Amino acid sequence: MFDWSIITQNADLILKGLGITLYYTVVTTALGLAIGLLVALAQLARISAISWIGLLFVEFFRNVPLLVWLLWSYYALPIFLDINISKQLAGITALSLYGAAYYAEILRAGIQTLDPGQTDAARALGMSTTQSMRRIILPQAFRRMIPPLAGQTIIQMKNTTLLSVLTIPDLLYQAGYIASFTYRPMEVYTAIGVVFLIILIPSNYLARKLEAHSQ
Amino acid sequence: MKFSFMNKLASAFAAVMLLTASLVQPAAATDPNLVLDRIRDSGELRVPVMIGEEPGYIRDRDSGEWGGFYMDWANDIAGILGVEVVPVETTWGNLAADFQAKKIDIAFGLNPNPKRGLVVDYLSVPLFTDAWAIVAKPGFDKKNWADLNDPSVSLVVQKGGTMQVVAEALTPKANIVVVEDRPLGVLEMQAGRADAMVLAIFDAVQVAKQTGGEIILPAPMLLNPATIGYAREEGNEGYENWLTNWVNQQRALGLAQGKLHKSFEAHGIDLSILPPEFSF
Repeated sequence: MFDWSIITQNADLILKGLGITLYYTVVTTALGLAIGLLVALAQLARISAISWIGLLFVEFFRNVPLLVWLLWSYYALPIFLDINISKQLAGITALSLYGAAYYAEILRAGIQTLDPGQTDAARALGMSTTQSMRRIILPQAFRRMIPPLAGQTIIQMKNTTLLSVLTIPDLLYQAGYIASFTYRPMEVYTAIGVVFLIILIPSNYLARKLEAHSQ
Repeated sequence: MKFSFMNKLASAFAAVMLLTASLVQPAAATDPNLVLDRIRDSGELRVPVMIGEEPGYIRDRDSGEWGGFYMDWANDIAGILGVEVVPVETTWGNLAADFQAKKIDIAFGLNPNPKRGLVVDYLSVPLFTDAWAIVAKPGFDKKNWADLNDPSVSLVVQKGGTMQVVAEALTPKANIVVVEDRPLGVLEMQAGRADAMVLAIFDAVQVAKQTGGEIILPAPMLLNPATIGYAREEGNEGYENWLTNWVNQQRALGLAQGKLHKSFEAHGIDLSILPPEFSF
Protein backbone atom coordinates (compact mmCIF):
# COMPACT_ATOMS: atom_id res chain seq x y z
CA MET A 1 0.00 0.00 0.00
CA PHE A 2 2.71 2.47 1.01
CA ASP A 3 5.15 3.38 -1.72
CA TRP A 4 8.39 4.25 0.05
CA SER A 5 10.29 4.87 -3.17
CA ILE A 6 8.63 8.32 -3.10
CA ILE A 7 10.78 9.08 -0.06
CA THR A 8 14.06 7.80 -1.44
CA GLN A 9 13.48 9.60 -4.75
CA ASN A 10 12.89 12.87 -2.93
CA ALA A 11 15.37 12.46 -0.10
CA ASP A 12 17.30 15.50 -1.34
CA LEU A 13 14.27 17.75 -0.88
CA ILE A 14 13.59 16.32 2.60
CA LEU A 15 17.23 16.89 3.54
CA LYS A 16 17.05 20.49 2.32
CA GLY A 17 13.92 20.94 4.41
CA LEU A 18 15.64 19.40 7.42
CA GLY A 19 18.51 21.87 7.01
CA ILE A 20 16.07 24.79 7.03
CA THR A 21 14.15 23.37 10.02
CA LEU A 22 17.36 22.90 12.04
CA TYR A 23 18.63 26.36 11.06
CA TYR A 24 15.46 28.06 12.30
CA THR A 25 15.36 25.88 15.42
CA VAL A 26 18.93 26.76 16.41
CA VAL A 27 18.74 30.47 15.55
CA THR A 28 15.34 31.10 17.14
CA THR A 29 16.16 29.01 20.23
CA ALA A 30 19.37 30.99 20.79
CA LEU A 31 17.64 34.33 20.23
CA GLY A 32 14.61 33.22 22.23
CA LEU A 33 16.77 32.20 25.20
CA ALA A 34 18.73 35.46 25.10
CA ILE A 35 15.62 37.63 24.87
CA GLY A 36 13.82 35.35 27.35
CA LEU A 37 16.58 35.82 29.93
CA LEU A 38 16.33 39.61 29.58
CA VAL A 39 12.56 39.44 29.93
CA ALA A 40 12.80 37.13 32.96
CA LEU A 41 15.25 39.47 34.67
CA ALA A 42 13.03 42.42 33.77
CA GLN A 43 10.09 40.68 35.42
CA LEU A 44 12.15 40.19 38.56
CA ALA A 45 13.39 43.80 38.61
CA ARG A 46 12.59 45.84 41.69
CA ILE A 47 11.53 48.83 39.62
CA SER A 48 7.86 48.13 38.94
CA ALA A 49 7.84 49.85 35.51
CA ILE A 50 10.49 47.40 34.27
CA SER A 51 8.79 44.34 35.76
CA TRP A 52 5.56 45.45 34.11
CA ILE A 53 7.26 45.66 30.74
CA GLY A 54 8.53 42.11 31.23
CA LEU A 55 5.08 40.90 32.19
CA LEU A 56 3.46 42.66 29.25
CA PHE A 57 5.97 41.10 26.85
CA VAL A 58 5.16 37.61 28.13
CA GLU A 59 1.41 38.09 28.03
CA PHE A 60 1.55 39.76 24.62
CA PHE A 61 3.55 37.05 22.88
CA ARG A 62 2.26 34.04 24.80
CA ASN A 63 -1.43 34.68 24.31
CA VAL A 64 -1.53 35.27 20.57
CA PRO A 65 -1.20 32.18 18.33
CA LEU A 66 2.15 31.81 16.60
CA LEU A 67 0.47 31.57 13.20
CA VAL A 68 -0.96 35.05 13.74
CA TRP A 69 2.46 36.37 14.77
CA LEU A 70 4.05 34.93 11.64
CA LEU A 71 1.50 36.55 9.33
CA TRP A 72 1.59 39.73 11.33
CA SER A 73 5.35 40.13 11.19
CA TYR A 74 5.47 39.35 7.45
CA TYR A 75 2.50 41.47 6.35
CA ALA A 76 1.84 44.13 8.98
CA LEU A 77 5.18 45.95 8.79
CA PRO A 78 4.95 46.71 5.06
CA ILE A 79 1.26 47.63 5.33
CA PHE A 80 1.56 49.79 8.43
CA LEU A 81 5.04 51.24 8.23
CA ASP A 82 6.08 50.65 4.63
CA ILE A 83 8.98 48.52 5.86
CA ASN A 84 9.52 45.55 3.57
CA ILE A 85 10.64 42.61 5.65
CA SER A 86 11.82 39.34 4.11
CA LYS A 87 9.95 36.17 4.99
CA GLN A 88 13.13 34.78 6.54
CA LEU A 89 13.47 37.74 8.88
CA ALA A 90 9.75 37.71 9.64
CA GLY A 91 9.97 34.00 10.50
CA ILE A 92 12.98 34.45 12.77
CA THR A 93 11.45 37.46 14.50
CA ALA A 94 8.08 35.84 15.20
CA LEU A 95 9.50 32.48 16.32
CA SER A 96 12.20 34.08 18.51
CA LEU A 97 9.82 36.46 20.29
CA TYR A 98 7.18 33.78 20.72
CA GLY A 99 9.76 31.35 22.11
CA ALA A 100 11.25 34.10 24.28
CA ALA A 101 7.94 34.57 26.12
CA TYR A 102 7.90 30.90 27.12
CA TYR A 103 11.61 30.75 27.93
CA ALA A 104 11.19 33.89 30.06
CA GLU A 105 8.55 32.17 32.21
CA ILE A 106 10.70 29.06 32.65
CA LEU A 107 13.73 31.17 33.59
CA ARG A 108 11.77 33.44 35.92
CA ALA A 109 10.17 30.51 37.71
CA GLY A 110 13.55 28.74 37.93
CA ILE A 111 15.18 31.76 39.52
CA GLN A 112 12.30 32.24 41.94
CA THR A 113 12.36 28.65 43.18
CA LEU A 114 15.81 29.21 44.66
CA ASP A 115 15.85 30.05 48.32
CA PRO A 116 15.96 33.87 48.76
CA GLY A 117 18.66 33.18 51.34
CA GLN A 118 21.03 32.49 48.44
CA THR A 119 20.72 36.06 47.24
CA ASP A 120 21.07 37.39 50.77
CA ALA A 121 24.23 35.34 51.30
CA ALA A 122 25.71 36.57 48.03
CA ARG A 123 24.90 40.16 48.97
CA ALA A 124 26.43 39.62 52.43
CA LEU A 125 29.64 38.55 50.68
CA GLY A 126 29.64 41.94 48.97
CA MET A 127 28.46 40.86 45.52
CA SER A 128 26.40 43.20 43.41
CA THR A 129 22.99 42.09 42.07
CA THR A 130 24.56 41.25 38.70
CA GLN A 131 27.39 39.30 40.28
CA SER A 132 25.10 37.29 42.54
CA MET A 133 22.83 36.53 39.60
CA ARG A 134 25.70 35.42 37.38
CA ARG A 135 27.77 33.52 39.95
CA ILE A 136 25.25 32.12 42.42
CA ILE A 137 21.67 32.18 41.22
CA LEU A 138 21.69 31.45 37.48
CA PRO A 139 24.08 28.44 37.57
CA GLN A 140 21.89 26.71 40.19
CA ALA A 141 18.62 27.74 38.64
CA PHE A 142 19.75 26.58 35.21
CA ARG A 143 20.16 22.98 36.43
CA ARG A 144 16.57 22.91 37.60
CA MET A 145 15.42 24.47 34.37
CA ILE A 146 16.98 21.90 32.05
CA PRO A 147 13.87 19.69 31.70
CA PRO A 148 11.42 22.51 30.97
CA LEU A 149 13.93 24.28 28.70
CA ALA A 150 14.50 21.05 26.77
CA GLY A 151 10.73 20.59 26.51
CA GLN A 152 10.25 24.12 25.25
CA THR A 153 13.04 23.70 22.70
CA ILE A 154 11.35 20.57 21.34
CA ILE A 155 8.15 22.57 20.99
CA GLN A 156 10.19 25.33 19.32
CA MET A 157 11.49 22.85 16.75
CA LYS A 158 8.02 21.55 16.01
CA ASN A 159 6.71 25.12 15.83
CA THR A 160 9.07 25.80 12.92
CA THR A 161 6.62 23.77 10.79
CA LEU A 162 4.34 26.81 10.89
CA LEU A 163 6.95 28.66 8.82
CA SER A 164 5.53 26.86 5.80
CA VAL A 165 2.60 29.32 5.90
CA LEU A 166 5.12 31.96 4.71
CA THR A 167 6.41 29.42 2.16
CA ILE A 168 9.74 29.10 3.96
CA PRO A 169 10.95 25.74 2.61
CA ASP A 170 11.15 23.80 5.90
CA LEU A 171 10.37 20.11 6.34
CA LEU A 172 6.61 20.58 6.26
CA TYR A 173 6.76 22.81 3.18
CA GLN A 174 8.86 20.20 1.37
CA ALA A 175 6.35 17.54 2.40
CA GLY A 176 3.53 19.58 0.87
CA TYR A 177 5.62 20.18 -2.24
CA ILE A 178 6.51 16.50 -2.68
CA ALA A 179 2.87 15.52 -2.08
CA SER A 180 1.79 18.06 -4.71
CA PHE A 181 3.56 16.23 -7.53
CA THR A 182 3.62 12.65 -6.25
CA TYR A 183 0.07 12.57 -4.86
CA ARG A 184 1.35 10.39 -2.02
CA PRO A 185 0.79 12.59 1.04
CA MET A 186 0.62 9.72 3.56
CA GLU A 187 4.11 8.44 2.80
CA VAL A 188 5.56 11.93 2.80
CA TYR A 189 4.01 13.15 6.05
CA THR A 190 4.84 9.86 7.77
CA ALA A 191 8.46 10.28 6.69
CA ILE A 192 8.52 13.84 8.06
CA GLY A 193 7.20 12.54 11.39
CA VAL A 194 9.96 9.93 11.45
CA VAL A 195 12.60 12.61 10.75
CA PHE A 196 11.35 14.60 13.78
CA LEU A 197 11.51 11.46 15.94
CA ILE A 198 15.05 10.71 14.77
CA ILE A 199 16.17 14.21 15.72
CA LEU A 200 14.18 14.74 18.91
CA ILE A 201 14.49 11.39 20.73
CA PRO A 202 18.32 11.56 20.95
CA SER A 203 18.06 15.27 21.88
CA ASN A 204 15.77 14.35 24.76
CA TYR A 205 18.16 11.62 25.83
CA LEU A 206 21.01 14.15 25.86
CA ALA A 207 18.93 16.61 27.90
CA ARG A 208 18.27 13.88 30.49
CA LYS A 209 21.97 13.03 30.63
CA LEU A 210 22.81 16.70 31.08
CA GLU A 211 20.25 16.99 33.85
CA ALA A 212 21.57 13.89 35.67
CA HIS A 213 25.13 15.13 35.19
CA SER A 214 24.37 18.53 36.74
CA GLN A 215 22.76 17.18 39.90
CA MET B 1 -8.27 29.11 -7.28
CA LYS B 2 -9.00 28.32 -3.69
CA PHE B 3 -9.69 30.59 -0.82
CA SER B 4 -8.85 28.96 2.47
CA PHE B 5 -9.54 30.28 5.94
CA MET B 6 -6.18 32.04 5.77
CA ASN B 7 -7.60 34.09 2.96
CA LYS B 8 -10.51 35.14 5.08
CA LEU B 9 -8.10 36.06 7.84
CA ALA B 10 -5.89 37.94 5.43
CA SER B 11 -8.87 39.67 3.80
CA ALA B 12 -10.25 40.80 7.13
CA PHE B 13 -6.80 41.95 8.09
CA ALA B 14 -6.31 43.74 4.78
CA ALA B 15 -9.73 45.39 5.06
CA VAL B 16 -8.80 46.86 8.42
CA MET B 17 -5.50 48.07 6.97
CA LEU B 18 -7.24 49.64 4.02
CA LEU B 19 -9.66 51.41 6.30
CA THR B 20 -6.77 52.74 8.36
CA ALA B 21 -4.91 53.81 5.23
CA SER B 22 -7.94 55.58 3.80
CA LEU B 23 -8.14 57.78 6.87
CA VAL B 24 -4.70 59.20 6.29
CA GLN B 25 -4.73 59.50 2.46
CA PRO B 26 -4.74 63.04 1.15
CA ALA B 27 -7.62 63.79 -1.21
CA ALA B 28 -5.45 65.14 -4.01
CA ALA B 29 -5.69 63.87 -7.61
CA THR B 30 -2.96 61.36 -8.38
CA ASP B 31 -1.07 60.52 -11.53
CA PRO B 32 -2.88 57.56 -13.19
CA ASN B 33 0.48 56.17 -14.31
CA LEU B 34 1.92 55.98 -10.82
CA VAL B 35 1.80 52.18 -10.60
CA LEU B 36 2.88 51.53 -14.19
CA ASP B 37 5.82 53.89 -13.77
CA ARG B 38 6.77 52.33 -10.45
CA ILE B 39 6.92 48.85 -12.01
CA ARG B 40 8.97 50.08 -14.96
CA ASP B 41 11.34 52.03 -12.73
CA SER B 42 11.84 49.10 -10.38
CA GLY B 43 12.78 46.85 -13.30
CA GLU B 44 10.77 44.04 -11.70
CA LEU B 45 7.34 42.51 -12.19
CA ARG B 46 6.71 40.61 -8.95
CA VAL B 47 4.49 37.63 -9.65
CA PRO B 48 3.00 35.29 -7.05
CA VAL B 49 3.90 31.63 -7.56
CA MET B 50 2.59 28.60 -5.69
CA ILE B 51 3.34 24.94 -5.27
CA GLY B 52 0.59 22.39 -5.82
CA GLU B 53 -0.90 24.49 -8.64
CA GLU B 54 0.38 22.72 -11.74
CA PRO B 55 0.17 23.33 -14.64
CA GLY B 56 -0.46 27.05 -14.01
CA TYR B 57 2.66 27.25 -11.89
CA ILE B 58 5.28 24.54 -12.23
CA ARG B 59 8.33 24.52 -10.01
CA ASP B 60 11.20 22.62 -11.52
CA ARG B 61 11.96 19.74 -9.20
CA ASP B 62 15.74 20.21 -9.31
CA SER B 63 16.53 23.78 -10.31
CA GLY B 64 13.66 25.31 -8.33
CA GLU B 65 12.87 27.55 -11.33
CA TRP B 66 9.28 28.51 -12.00
CA GLY B 67 7.37 27.81 -15.18
CA GLY B 68 3.78 27.06 -16.18
CA PHE B 69 1.30 28.98 -18.28
CA TYR B 70 0.83 31.77 -15.74
CA MET B 71 4.58 32.33 -15.82
CA ASP B 72 4.47 32.40 -19.64
CA TRP B 73 1.98 35.26 -19.44
CA ALA B 74 3.98 37.00 -16.74
CA ASN B 75 7.09 36.82 -18.92
CA ASP B 76 5.17 38.20 -21.88
CA ILE B 77 3.91 41.17 -19.86
CA ALA B 78 7.31 41.80 -18.30
CA GLY B 79 8.95 41.63 -21.72
CA ILE B 80 6.72 44.36 -23.11
CA LEU B 81 7.27 46.53 -20.03
CA GLY B 82 11.02 45.94 -20.29
CA VAL B 83 11.31 44.46 -16.82
CA GLU B 84 12.22 41.09 -15.30
CA VAL B 85 9.78 38.65 -13.71
CA VAL B 86 10.54 38.10 -10.03
CA PRO B 87 8.65 35.10 -8.60
CA VAL B 88 7.29 35.69 -5.09
CA GLU B 89 6.27 32.43 -3.49
CA THR B 90 2.96 32.53 -1.63
CA THR B 91 -0.38 30.70 -1.25
CA TRP B 92 -3.90 31.48 -2.47
CA GLY B 93 -4.82 32.24 1.11
CA ASN B 94 -2.20 34.96 1.52
CA LEU B 95 -2.70 36.57 -1.88
CA ALA B 96 -4.85 39.50 -0.71
CA ALA B 97 -2.34 40.31 2.04
CA ASP B 98 0.49 40.11 -0.52
CA PHE B 99 -1.22 42.83 -2.54
CA GLN B 100 -1.86 44.94 0.54
CA ALA B 101 1.74 44.60 1.67
CA LYS B 102 2.92 45.57 -1.86
CA LYS B 103 4.81 42.30 -2.25
CA ILE B 104 3.36 41.50 -5.69
CA ASP B 105 2.34 43.50 -8.78
CA ILE B 106 -0.06 41.11 -10.51
CA ALA B 107 -1.86 37.80 -10.02
CA PHE B 108 -3.23 35.45 -12.67
CA GLY B 109 -6.13 33.05 -12.73
CA LEU B 110 -8.37 34.75 -10.19
CA ASN B 111 -12.00 33.67 -10.23
CA PRO B 112 -14.59 36.38 -9.64
CA ASN B 113 -14.99 36.86 -5.91
CA PRO B 114 -16.71 40.01 -4.68
CA LYS B 115 -15.39 39.52 -1.17
CA ARG B 116 -11.81 39.57 -2.36
CA GLY B 117 -12.88 42.27 -4.80
CA LEU B 118 -13.33 44.54 -1.81
CA VAL B 119 -9.58 44.69 -1.30
CA VAL B 120 -8.08 43.68 -4.67
CA ASP B 121 -8.81 45.15 -8.10
CA TYR B 122 -9.84 42.74 -10.86
CA LEU B 123 -9.47 43.31 -14.55
CA SER B 124 -12.95 43.40 -16.06
CA VAL B 125 -11.99 41.16 -19.00
CA PRO B 126 -11.14 37.49 -18.41
CA LEU B 127 -7.86 36.18 -19.79
CA PHE B 128 -9.40 32.78 -20.51
CA THR B 129 -12.47 30.85 -19.51
CA ASP B 130 -12.32 27.80 -17.34
CA ALA B 131 -15.20 25.45 -16.54
CA TRP B 132 -16.12 23.38 -13.51
CA ALA B 133 -15.48 19.72 -14.00
CA ILE B 134 -15.24 16.59 -11.92
CA VAL B 135 -12.56 13.94 -11.94
CA ALA B 136 -14.39 10.70 -11.23
CA LYS B 137 -13.33 7.16 -10.46
CA PRO B 138 -13.40 5.02 -13.62
CA GLY B 139 -16.87 3.86 -14.55
CA PHE B 140 -18.70 6.69 -12.79
CA ASP B 141 -21.71 7.46 -14.95
CA LYS B 142 -23.41 10.59 -13.58
CA LYS B 143 -22.92 13.30 -16.19
CA ASN B 144 -24.96 16.24 -14.99
CA TRP B 145 -25.24 18.32 -11.85
CA ALA B 146 -28.81 17.15 -11.15
CA ASP B 147 -27.69 13.50 -11.06
CA LEU B 148 -24.76 14.38 -8.84
CA ASN B 149 -27.18 15.96 -6.36
CA ASP B 150 -27.87 12.64 -4.67
CA PRO B 151 -27.04 11.37 -1.17
CA SER B 152 -25.37 8.31 -2.68
CA VAL B 153 -22.74 10.52 -4.37
CA SER B 154 -19.62 11.59 -2.47
CA LEU B 155 -17.91 14.68 -3.89
CA VAL B 156 -14.55 16.04 -2.73
CA VAL B 157 -13.91 19.79 -2.68
CA GLN B 158 -11.04 21.92 -1.41
CA LYS B 159 -11.79 23.88 1.72
CA GLY B 160 -12.84 27.47 1.10
CA GLY B 161 -12.36 27.05 -2.63
CA THR B 162 -14.76 28.21 -5.30
CA MET B 163 -15.37 24.51 -5.94
CA GLN B 164 -16.89 24.26 -2.47
CA VAL B 165 -19.34 27.05 -3.34
CA VAL B 166 -20.21 25.28 -6.59
CA ALA B 167 -20.79 21.93 -4.86
CA GLU B 168 -22.88 23.42 -2.07
CA ALA B 169 -25.01 25.37 -4.55
CA LEU B 170 -25.58 22.63 -7.13
CA THR B 171 -25.29 19.39 -5.19
CA PRO B 172 -26.50 20.16 -1.65
CA LYS B 173 -27.93 16.64 -1.25
CA ALA B 174 -24.66 14.94 -2.16
CA ASN B 175 -22.20 13.93 0.51
CA ILE B 176 -19.66 16.77 0.22
CA VAL B 177 -16.23 15.90 1.57
CA VAL B 178 -14.15 18.99 2.32
CA VAL B 179 -10.35 18.60 2.26
CA GLU B 180 -7.42 20.91 2.87
CA ASP B 181 -5.60 20.54 -0.45
CA ARG B 182 -5.57 18.77 -3.78
CA PRO B 183 -3.38 15.77 -2.81
CA LEU B 184 -5.68 15.01 0.15
CA GLY B 185 -8.66 15.10 -2.20
CA VAL B 186 -6.95 12.56 -4.41
CA LEU B 187 -6.28 10.48 -1.31
CA GLU B 188 -10.01 10.50 -0.48
CA MET B 189 -10.72 9.06 -3.91
CA GLN B 190 -7.89 6.54 -3.68
CA ALA B 191 -9.20 5.47 -0.26
CA GLY B 192 -12.56 4.80 -1.90
CA ARG B 193 -14.36 7.36 0.26
CA ALA B 194 -15.33 9.63 -2.63
CA ASP B 195 -16.70 9.16 -6.13
CA ALA B 196 -15.39 12.33 -7.69
CA MET B 197 -13.53 15.58 -7.04
CA VAL B 198 -14.77 18.98 -8.18
CA LEU B 199 -12.03 20.93 -9.99
CA ALA B 200 -11.50 23.65 -12.55
CA ILE B 201 -11.11 21.87 -15.87
CA PHE B 202 -7.41 22.67 -16.35
CA ASP B 203 -6.65 21.35 -12.87
CA ALA B 204 -8.87 18.35 -13.62
CA VAL B 205 -6.75 17.56 -16.68
CA GLN B 206 -3.67 17.46 -14.46
CA VAL B 207 -5.27 15.40 -11.69
CA ALA B 208 -6.87 12.95 -14.14
CA LYS B 209 -3.52 12.35 -15.76
CA GLN B 210 -1.81 11.62 -12.47
CA THR B 211 -4.53 9.51 -10.90
CA GLY B 212 -6.08 7.71 -13.85
CA GLY B 213 -9.45 9.32 -13.16
CA GLU B 214 -12.02 10.27 -15.73
CA ILE B 215 -12.88 13.89 -16.57
CA ILE B 216 -16.57 14.70 -16.72
CA LEU B 217 -17.91 18.14 -17.55
CA PRO B 218 -21.29 17.98 -15.82
CA ALA B 219 -24.19 19.59 -17.66
CA PRO B 220 -25.20 22.35 -17.72
CA MET B 221 -21.64 23.57 -18.23
CA LEU B 222 -20.56 26.19 -15.68
CA LEU B 223 -18.07 28.62 -17.13
CA ASN B 224 -15.55 30.18 -14.83
CA PRO B 225 -13.72 33.32 -15.98
CA ALA B 226 -10.06 33.45 -14.99
CA THR B 227 -8.95 37.03 -14.72
CA ILE B 228 -6.03 39.17 -13.59
CA GLY B 229 -5.83 40.86 -10.21
CA TYR B 230 -3.69 43.79 -9.08
CA ALA B 231 -3.36 45.91 -5.98
CA ARG B 232 -6.08 48.43 -5.24
CA GLU B 233 -4.13 51.62 -4.88
CA GLU B 234 -4.08 55.15 -6.17
CA GLY B 235 -2.59 55.68 -9.59
CA ASN B 236 -3.31 52.17 -10.93
CA GLU B 237 -5.67 53.34 -13.70
CA GLY B 238 -2.93 53.46 -16.33
CA TYR B 239 -1.78 49.98 -15.36
CA GLU B 240 -5.34 48.66 -15.52
CA ASN B 241 -5.88 50.21 -18.91
CA TRP B 242 -2.64 48.76 -20.23
CA LEU B 243 -3.38 45.28 -18.87
CA THR B 244 -6.86 45.34 -20.43
CA ASN B 245 -5.25 46.22 -23.74
CA TRP B 246 -2.82 43.31 -23.35
CA VAL B 247 -5.59 40.83 -22.45
CA ASN B 248 -7.75 41.97 -25.35
CA GLN B 249 -4.90 41.37 -27.75
CA GLN B 250 -4.16 37.96 -26.23
CA ARG B 251 -7.77 36.97 -26.69
CA ALA B 252 -8.28 38.52 -30.10
CA LEU B 253 -5.24 36.81 -31.57
CA GLY B 254 -5.79 33.54 -29.72
CA LEU B 255 -2.45 33.97 -28.00
CA ALA B 256 -3.70 33.06 -24.52
CA GLN B 257 -5.27 29.87 -25.83
CA GLY B 258 -2.12 29.07 -27.78
CA LYS B 259 0.00 29.42 -24.65
CA LEU B 260 -2.35 27.15 -22.73
CA HIS B 261 -2.06 24.49 -25.43
CA LYS B 262 1.71 24.82 -25.55
CA SER B 263 2.03 24.60 -21.80
CA PHE B 264 -0.08 21.47 -21.54
CA GLU B 265 1.78 19.88 -24.41
CA ALA B 266 5.11 20.63 -22.75
CA HIS B 267 3.73 18.97 -19.65
CA GLY B 268 2.77 15.86 -21.57
CA ILE B 269 -0.95 16.47 -21.44
CA ASP B 270 -3.08 16.06 -24.52
CA LEU B 271 -5.86 18.63 -24.41
CA SER B 272 -7.92 16.54 -26.85
CA ILE B 273 -9.10 14.63 -23.76
CA LEU B 274 -11.16 17.73 -22.95
CA PRO B 275 -14.86 17.25 -23.57
CA PRO B 276 -15.76 18.54 -27.06
CA GLU B 277 -18.41 20.94 -25.75
CA PHE B 278 -15.76 22.96 -23.91
CA SER B 279 -13.74 25.71 -25.52
CA PHE B 280 -11.65 28.26 -23.68
